[in-house]
Amino acid sequence: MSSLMEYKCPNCGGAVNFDTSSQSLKCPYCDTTFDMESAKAYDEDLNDVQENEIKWDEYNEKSGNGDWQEGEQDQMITYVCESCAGEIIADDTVAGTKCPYCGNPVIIKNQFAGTFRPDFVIPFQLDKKIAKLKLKEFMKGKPLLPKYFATENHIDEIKGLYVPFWLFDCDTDAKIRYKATKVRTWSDTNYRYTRTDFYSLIREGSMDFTKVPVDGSTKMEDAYMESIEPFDYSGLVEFQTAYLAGLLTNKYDVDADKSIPRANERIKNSVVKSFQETIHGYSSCIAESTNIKLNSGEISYALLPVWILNSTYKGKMYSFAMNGQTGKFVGELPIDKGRAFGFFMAIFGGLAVVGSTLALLL
Amino acid sequence: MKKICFILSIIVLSLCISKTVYAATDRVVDHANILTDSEENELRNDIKEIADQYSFDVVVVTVDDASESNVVAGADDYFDYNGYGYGSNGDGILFYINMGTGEWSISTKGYGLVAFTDYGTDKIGEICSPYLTDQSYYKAFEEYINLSSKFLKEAEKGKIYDVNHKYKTTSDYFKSILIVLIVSLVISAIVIGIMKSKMKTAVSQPYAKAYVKDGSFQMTRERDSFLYSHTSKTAIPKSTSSGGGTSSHTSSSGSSHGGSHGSF
Repeated sequence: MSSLMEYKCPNCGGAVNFDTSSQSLKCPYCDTTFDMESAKAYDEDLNDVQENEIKWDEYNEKSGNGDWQEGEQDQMITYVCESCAGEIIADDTVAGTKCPYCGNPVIIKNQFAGTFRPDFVIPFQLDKKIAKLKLKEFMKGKPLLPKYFATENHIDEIKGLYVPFWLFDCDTDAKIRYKATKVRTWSDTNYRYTRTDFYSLIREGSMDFTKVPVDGSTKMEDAYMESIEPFDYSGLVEFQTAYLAGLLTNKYDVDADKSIPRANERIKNSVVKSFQETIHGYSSCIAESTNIKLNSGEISYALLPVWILNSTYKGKMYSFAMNGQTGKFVGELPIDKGRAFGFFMAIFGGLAVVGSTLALLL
Repeated sequence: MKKICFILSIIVLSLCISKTVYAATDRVVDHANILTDSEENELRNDIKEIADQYSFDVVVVTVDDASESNVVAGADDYFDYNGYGYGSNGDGILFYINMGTGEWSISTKGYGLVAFTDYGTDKIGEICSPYLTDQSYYKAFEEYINLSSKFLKEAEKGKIYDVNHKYKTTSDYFKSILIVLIVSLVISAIVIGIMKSKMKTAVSQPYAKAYVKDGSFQMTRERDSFLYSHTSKTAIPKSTSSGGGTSSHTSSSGSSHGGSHGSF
């Protein structure tokens, strides 16, 4: 004898009763019927998989390779831009520099302080020449680009910059419940029939991630930093202040804690997607609940090489970024509205004339 | 008394005969009296032009008979029993409207079956019947004669209007041009959209696939359980498209007619 239990309808979520006439469960709200076994299995699945957030270790001075060694910070200076308040770190060999974020020449030297020691660094592999070349290439074959942008652009001011990244390492165990459908259609002389079978799928498995990067600077737009990924971590070396000599470093202003949600999101998306890719033979499949458990969530702090250029055109900032290790280049170019309109009218006019002529002749 | 009866019957007979003879020569017969004399004459002139050019009879008949049960047969019989139609085949087209029942019928005969396909007579009815509904009877007949002329002209060129060679009105042309304009607008907007999208290549990456440790992805449990199913059915629309051409029926006199009919 089974005890009196209340089941939830997998279609609408309503409470379901046992229908004595059909010896099955029938939802009083949406009239869906299903057998006892399905209801039990679905109920188990519901209780089994609960939404769960990923827990990470806290990042502090003791994390990674530890705190600064004595004397290590002595040669390092923080520069603050008077115009945009952007902060950069450089050693005292860097002189007369302009703010890399807004181009303002007035920057103030400050005592270096209040930042964790980076654990890793990927040294610059590509020089300024390549960065300039890639920018010129990017501007080629763009009919909507304002004519004077390329010439007015201060291509020379493209700058190499170490950007702070939080790197998230973790092993995950995941349990995901999907709702899937199989659709079959057939027809007789009068009707077309569509039968949709609904399934509850459970997938359990594991997946490990190495150093998922999240940009730790608000001065660097996340979309740009994610677009120039991935960095090749075989080039990752332990941090030494020597790597920063003569180069600018962006000071992080987003701490590890605040970067966690973005890392979680990307990890979760990847797990759900990878699991889903193993599911075949269904017409549709949607993840209804995901439970991702973290076995060792470790955070490290790294400086990664990026070439950047910020250029203003008609009062709006346009940015370009190149991966200083792999050379992947991304950016945004301004659009000449007049040219865009011209192209639009030319295409529209051409099509309209040809189309109308055909319509009249045929 | 016998004599009077005889004379009377002669008069009635001769009236009937003269009426028939008159009808056979008159191509605009307005029994329902919905056209003015000058309108009738205008229509007769237009009809004569077609007759001269194509040796083809175009006829307009209006009646007011609420008791008529079959408008198609009415039109066919009017055609046959009044001697319309050119040549031995009786080439012609007749537009018959009954004010009493609010119905119209187009009857074709002889070469009329060739020049006016089912599509053709349907189209003429479709264009003319709104005028009947508006009580613009003259306009309806004028349009009918005008269309008949166009259809005959096209048939003479060997390109009979049919499902695969449709007659287009001005509004049909406007419609197709409007569609062309909308499609062009959408295509050019898409092209410009693609051009614009190439101007910005910096986009967020929703996944972290590049950072998955090689070989770390393992499935430990897979279970698929069936929940329930839904079946829906939709009626298949009956196909009504015809392959073109003319279908004919036989009138009471035994001759073959084509055409269309409807009400207004």
